[in-house]
Amino acid sequence: MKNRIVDRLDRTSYLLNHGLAFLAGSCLLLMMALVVGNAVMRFFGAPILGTTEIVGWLTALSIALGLGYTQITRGYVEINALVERFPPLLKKILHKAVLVTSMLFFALVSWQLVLYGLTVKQNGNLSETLWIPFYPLIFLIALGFAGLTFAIFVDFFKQLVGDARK
Amino acid sequence: GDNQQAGTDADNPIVLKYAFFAPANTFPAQQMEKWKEEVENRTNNRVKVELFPGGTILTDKNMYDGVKNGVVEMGLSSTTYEPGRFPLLGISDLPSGYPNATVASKVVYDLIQEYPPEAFQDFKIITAFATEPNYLMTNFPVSTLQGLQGKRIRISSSVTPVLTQLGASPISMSMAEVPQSLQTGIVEGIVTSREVLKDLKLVENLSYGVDYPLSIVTFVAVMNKNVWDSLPSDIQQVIDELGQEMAIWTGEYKDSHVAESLDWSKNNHAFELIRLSQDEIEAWNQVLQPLQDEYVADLQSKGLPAEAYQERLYELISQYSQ
Amino acid sequence: MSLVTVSLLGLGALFLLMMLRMPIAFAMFIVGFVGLLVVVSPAAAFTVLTSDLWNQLSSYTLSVIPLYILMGEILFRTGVTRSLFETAYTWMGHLKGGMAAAVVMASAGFAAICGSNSASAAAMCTIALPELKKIKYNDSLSTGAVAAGGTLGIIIPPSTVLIIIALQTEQSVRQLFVASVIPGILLMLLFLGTVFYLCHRNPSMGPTGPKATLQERLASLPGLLPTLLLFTFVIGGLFLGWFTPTESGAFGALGAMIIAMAMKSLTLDNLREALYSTIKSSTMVITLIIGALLFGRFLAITRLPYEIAEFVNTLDVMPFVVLAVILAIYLIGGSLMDALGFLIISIPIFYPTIISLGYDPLWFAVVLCIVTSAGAITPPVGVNAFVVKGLAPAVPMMSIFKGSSIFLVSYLILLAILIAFPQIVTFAVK
Ligand code: NA
Ligand code: NA
Repeated sequence: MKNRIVDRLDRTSYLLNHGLAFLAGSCLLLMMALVVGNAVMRFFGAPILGTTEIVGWLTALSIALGLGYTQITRGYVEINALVERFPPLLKKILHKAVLVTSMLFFALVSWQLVLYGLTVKQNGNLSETLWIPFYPLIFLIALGFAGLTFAIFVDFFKQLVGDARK
Repeated sequence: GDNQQAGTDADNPIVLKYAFFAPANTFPAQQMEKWKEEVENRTNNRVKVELFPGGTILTDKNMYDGVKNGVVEMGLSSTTYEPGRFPLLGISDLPSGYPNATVASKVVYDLIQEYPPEAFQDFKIITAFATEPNYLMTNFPVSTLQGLQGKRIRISSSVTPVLTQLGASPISMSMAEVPQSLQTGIVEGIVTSREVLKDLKLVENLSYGVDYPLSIVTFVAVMNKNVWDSLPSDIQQVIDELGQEMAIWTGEYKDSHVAESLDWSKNNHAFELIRLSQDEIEAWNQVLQPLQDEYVADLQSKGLPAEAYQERLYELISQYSQ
Repeated sequence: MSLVTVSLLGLGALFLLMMLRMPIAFAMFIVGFVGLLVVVSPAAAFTVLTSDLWNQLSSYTLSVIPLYILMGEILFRTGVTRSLFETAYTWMGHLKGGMAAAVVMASAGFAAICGSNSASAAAMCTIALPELKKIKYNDSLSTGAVAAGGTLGIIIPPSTVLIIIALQTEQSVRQLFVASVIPGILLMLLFLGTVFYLCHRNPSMGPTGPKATLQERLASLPGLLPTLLLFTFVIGGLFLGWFTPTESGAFGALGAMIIAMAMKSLTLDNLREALYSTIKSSTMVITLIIGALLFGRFLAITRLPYEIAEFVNTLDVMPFVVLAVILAIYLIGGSLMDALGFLIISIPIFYPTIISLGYDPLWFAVVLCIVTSAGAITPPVGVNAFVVKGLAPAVPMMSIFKGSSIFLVSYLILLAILIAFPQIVTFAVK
């Protein structure tokens, strides 16, 4: 029973975050194409208007949508020199504490980003060059942080139920 | 600190943290220094101003929200960099024939008093001022509209429509990328205010300027409303007195700085300022005026007093230009 | 409790969390956020957190990082780097430490097209570390060389840090670029000297291979071709004005794809793996950069950096002592927080002092760039060392810092040289 829940959660987090990372990768390719395209068009005297800001947006998506994937694949840098020397029980407790703190923090970040997106919408802020509203992108960034939060939650849950397979 | 006591004497001053996005050597940051000095002197050091220039705490993108939410007590930012949020100020940002920064600053200061932007409802406006109008500077001589067609010109975003209208090919890039791009010919000119010739040594790659004033960049300094309401009335009075004074001081400071940059560029790098013929000036006016008129008509149709604002704008320009 | 106390507590909390194995980026995020919350208010902390996240993530300047990493990934996955490495090995493998020296030289070459030190380190990491591992180089030496080599990215132009210093001190970007070329090359030579010295003293650090025959060497040369082509294209394009430094990342990535395609080694699987891996590395790098920025915001609002600067400005001693104190502060500051954040805060405060003491502005700008880039490999907060750690997870953080710290000696020698002979910097533009 415990294992089935763990499997389900694991699977969901895997699908969600791989899906988001796939989008992130597509944004990166699109960004490369846009930057190259703009330089080529500029050579012919017709640069693509707003390239700078669109590239910025694509960067934001490439990074934010990759947040959860980076957690699943253990991409974030951590220092384990000290913890390695601790007794196993203390090590487990500390690991859970670190996970739960990070999880709560990024849940908060993702919720606050939604609120920030709403503020930007309400302010009527437009992008600098193209003069179009950009607040929906902020919601996508919030989604990226939600993916990260979920990935950390699954890690935490596994620790909690003592996932034997890891 | 103990707020009951703060502000009664120099030993226990009211602390105002004042932030800005650009480095300490820029003219808006110099304005902050001056304001700090004046306020501290005139209140006998009962107010202490702590400056945070250089975007160390808040940037151009989050300055006003940061002040509203109490990150700092005061912030200076540019309304021009947040299109859509200050619709009326967008009118006076467009090319209107400002002769210099002093006039532009006086005009903008008055307009903000007369038409307080809705977005500043929850703020106390401390002062407002503007750059000198942006000018076109190029590495090839421009004396006609024709000569500008298809040329690759670096813009800060707010000027995009102006350049498109003039027939050039606008390219946006960060100021940091400009020097090398000019050097390698990725861009052939820039539109900005002219102190960069000396300050950033751009004159090394820009030999010509066109003496035709384009758009301005507006700066507004604000204070958190609750902080303002908590200030003793004599301190409020000192700050209010300084509002217009700072607008004029900053405009004059900027103008003398630009004059110095132009002199230096002419003497050391043979920089040439090209005067357009009367016919050409008219041609440029004819191309640019519709930009402002259409923008005004659009805002008017949305129920904003855009026409009255535009009329007052030109009244103030001619009044202060005399 | 004074604000300076709060800032010291914040530093303590950061190191504690890092030691408890919280990802470093997360720790900087959380301490920066909580610090702002305590010093100012929750509303303030939320505003700074969310708007900085959005504004930094969506900044054009950072876009160069994933693009450069993508270039490296594609070269790596399609075997282009392997053949490059085999060529270098055939030529230099018999020398003690020859391959680490090759890494340093490759870093310098890469630095000449790249403006960011973390992007340099990340790209060299993906290219060189797996190969060094294969021929049993000492982990500490390999990772240290990559981390240190990466710092050349902001000393050898183009460089984002030099651009920012130029803007803040009202100097010509072009002059600064020209002036930093020779110090950059000197530093590279010092790095090479370090590598050879270490491997000479302890040959097991960089095992030597068999000496190849002349025929073997000549036969290995075509392996250089793809990389040579790509670098010529990227550097040439930059100097001919086809594209900007930022754009060179995109052209480099596309060029890598085209070369891999021509070599018939670009499969859909390769491309997908390269993309996923790029996303992972760039997310890791950029979260570190934003974390350092957020933590810097907290330090700034406590005014700790300003207090220190004001203290130095009141010192009544010989000019050289003031210079030494200021450089020491930059070394320490650079070791504690992101170099860029520290520069922005401190230049307006220290720069006027230095100039009033009669030091040359251009010289000081270059020295500043060198000192702060050293900060990227000094513990405890060394962004480059973190980047390497993220890409070489099996190597303990301590080993990386141990390896990179050895290269700090080169930095100190270079500084001594520049202080003794300031002409090295200034003659290029006079
Ligand atoms: Na570089
Ligand atoms: Na460091």
